[in-house]
Amino acid sequence: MNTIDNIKEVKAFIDFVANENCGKCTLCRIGVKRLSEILNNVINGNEDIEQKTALELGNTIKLGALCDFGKNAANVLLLIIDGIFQKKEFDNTVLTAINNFYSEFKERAVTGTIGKSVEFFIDANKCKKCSMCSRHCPAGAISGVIRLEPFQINQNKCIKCWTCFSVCKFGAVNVKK
Amino acid sequence: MKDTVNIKINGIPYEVEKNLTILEASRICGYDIPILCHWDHDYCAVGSCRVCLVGIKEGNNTRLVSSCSTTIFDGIDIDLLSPLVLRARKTSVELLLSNHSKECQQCPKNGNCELLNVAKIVGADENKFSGKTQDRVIDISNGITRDSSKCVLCGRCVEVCNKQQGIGVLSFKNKAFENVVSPTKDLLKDSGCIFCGQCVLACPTGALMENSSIKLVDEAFEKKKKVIVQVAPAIRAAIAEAFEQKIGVLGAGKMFSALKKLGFYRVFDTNFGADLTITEEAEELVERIKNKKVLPQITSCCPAWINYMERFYADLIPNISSCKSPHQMEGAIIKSYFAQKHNLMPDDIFVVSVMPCTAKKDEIKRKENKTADFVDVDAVLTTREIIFMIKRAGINWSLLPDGEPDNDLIGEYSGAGAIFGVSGGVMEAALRTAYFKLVKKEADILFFKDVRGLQCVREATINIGEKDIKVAVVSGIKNAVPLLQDVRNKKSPYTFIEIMACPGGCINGGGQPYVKECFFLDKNVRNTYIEKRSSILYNVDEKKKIRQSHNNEDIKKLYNDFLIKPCSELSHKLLHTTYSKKDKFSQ
Repeated sequence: MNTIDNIKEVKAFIDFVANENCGKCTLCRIGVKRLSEILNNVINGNEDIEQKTALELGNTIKLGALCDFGKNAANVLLLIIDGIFQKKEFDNTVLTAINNFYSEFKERAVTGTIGKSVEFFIDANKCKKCSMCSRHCPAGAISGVIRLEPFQINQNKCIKCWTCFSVCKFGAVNVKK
Repeated sequence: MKDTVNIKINGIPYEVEKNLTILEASRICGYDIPILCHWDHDYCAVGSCRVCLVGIKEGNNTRLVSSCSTTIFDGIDIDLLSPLVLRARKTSVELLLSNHSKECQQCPKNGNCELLNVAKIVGADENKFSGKTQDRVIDISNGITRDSSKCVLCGRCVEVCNKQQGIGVLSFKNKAFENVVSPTKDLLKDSGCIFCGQCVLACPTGALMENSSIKLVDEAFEKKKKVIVQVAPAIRAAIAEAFEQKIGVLGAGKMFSALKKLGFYRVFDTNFGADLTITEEAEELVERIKNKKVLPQITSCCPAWINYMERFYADLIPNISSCKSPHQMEGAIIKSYFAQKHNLMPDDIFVVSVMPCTAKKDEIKRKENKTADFVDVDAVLTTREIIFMIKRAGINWSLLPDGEPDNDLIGEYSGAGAIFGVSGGVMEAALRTAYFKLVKKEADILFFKDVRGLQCVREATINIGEKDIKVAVVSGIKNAVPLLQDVRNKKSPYTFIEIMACPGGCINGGGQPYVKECFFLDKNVRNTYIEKRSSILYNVDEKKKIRQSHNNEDIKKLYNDFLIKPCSELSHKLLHTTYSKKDKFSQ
């Protein structure tokens, strides 16, 4: 059953992702905003919105957003869409997903460090030269030799998407705010 | 042997060079991917618009990445065709359209708009999404108008302003949906903008445009004023491009016929003004060399550079030539000499300059220019605006005969005036005349060819008499900074420096027609259009019999009848100006 608290939680989450993304890529800036508008409409009882549009938009953001923030936000939003249209309730999966999202992104978002005014550095001592970061970097900004040389970030190419930060398993990527 | 990698596009194997982006590799293999925010790989690879999304197949999954910023690797399986990819691109454009002012009919960018172009390619439905739109800010400054509702936040203008020009007026502000590109102090005029207009050339939509003066010109016609038009040297190098001709076609003849058909009282060529500028500027240079005054002398033809200098290098004011820019000089002569000879009142004359420049629009409003009792130039139109007026009048470009400017007192021009539109042209023209004044004989034309070229900073050593003088030519305002620091520290080895704010000079000015091929990333065009445009002007110079400004008969007559001699009292009143230190953050 939907409790008032659950709905509140979901609404807060929708507002959070719509207002706290960095606003750099279209899919997050306008896409998440539009999706949040659609979902808010549905939650407020306006039923005549097509589920298909919402699903398509959510899936596109999930796959196509620039950084992990957008992709993960869309993932949770898709669960919410599922909750609204299929199950007609928000169960624990949704709430857990929201909490997981918060634990990963809330600090970054609230301190305004998603997207800009930060610099990323790889700690050469911690770097295990696994190439995980350079393989995932969407900007091709990270160079190094696998197993031989520690990896480095070219600041001119870096697009501040936090991908390297998320994928590094050894905490070697440092953020300078 | 070149390093190559094996890639697959839509399942078909190809072998291409290493280290290309997916976008470049697919272009080589014959696939066009729509792009919006991408501008130039050296400056910009932000991947923010998400219009160029492609899929990378990894087993059963497909990952979407922006093709402009992702580098290819061996064995990559690129997917350009699946519904997933096509839908993602369409969604991106539809989302952009949902926050875009839908005033395409009245938008001056219509016809050159990249957003409309990609919308057409991906088949976007502009009404698919709707919702809250951003607050609209329309910022009208003297040179450039910014309409935030048309901005797609591609960041090209930010890149150009920061990295190419090194000024940094524009930047991103706020986060999430409220993210905007905005000048530092909200309004362009308060933020130290020099109005070079390079951002206007970079903008894919109509968010940044010149501040249109067509209305002013129409009103002048309505008031039955004598509307006199003058055309800058650089216009003829680019105007034909807008009429479906290739880059590198001289448009001078047809342009003059078209202007006469538009009903202007007289059609003049700013080349005459350029000759006049040279006569004055060379005299000033000779005087500085002879009397060992402040050197190096720095040119003052570029109003964007003057704006920059007044804000950031005001201590160099003694180095700047006091000459007004050519169109201002010509305007002043039209309203004094020409008006006198024809018994006209300066107030009845309305001088329109057609310029490749957005900064000239700001220049005519400078307080310092009002040395005489009239405004030198009443309105400045950019190349794009005059093209609009020609098209609006229904003039068929291809049927136009070749015409000439009116030969009425100030009609003649020399080859030296013609090359003003190219970076290095002012320098070469001034040296031709200064050489004559110092050595008392004409120099061979090719004597100064070292100042020509396409690099943004060039220097040359010229032997004048027994003395060698060093000169430098700079285009692109950022490239001038090291030289200016030297001048400031009194370490500069140069005698004469030419500075143009736009890379390549006026032919690549902020008011010139958009080079459409650049939108589609044709590298050959991007690297050569400046060269092609400049070779047009050098050809004009070559075909001229008279190639030195001081040999222009109309200039000689002007000095005999009216101005007496270069740098005389009257010419100082009409043709020279002053500069003053300005605050970085307001006008």
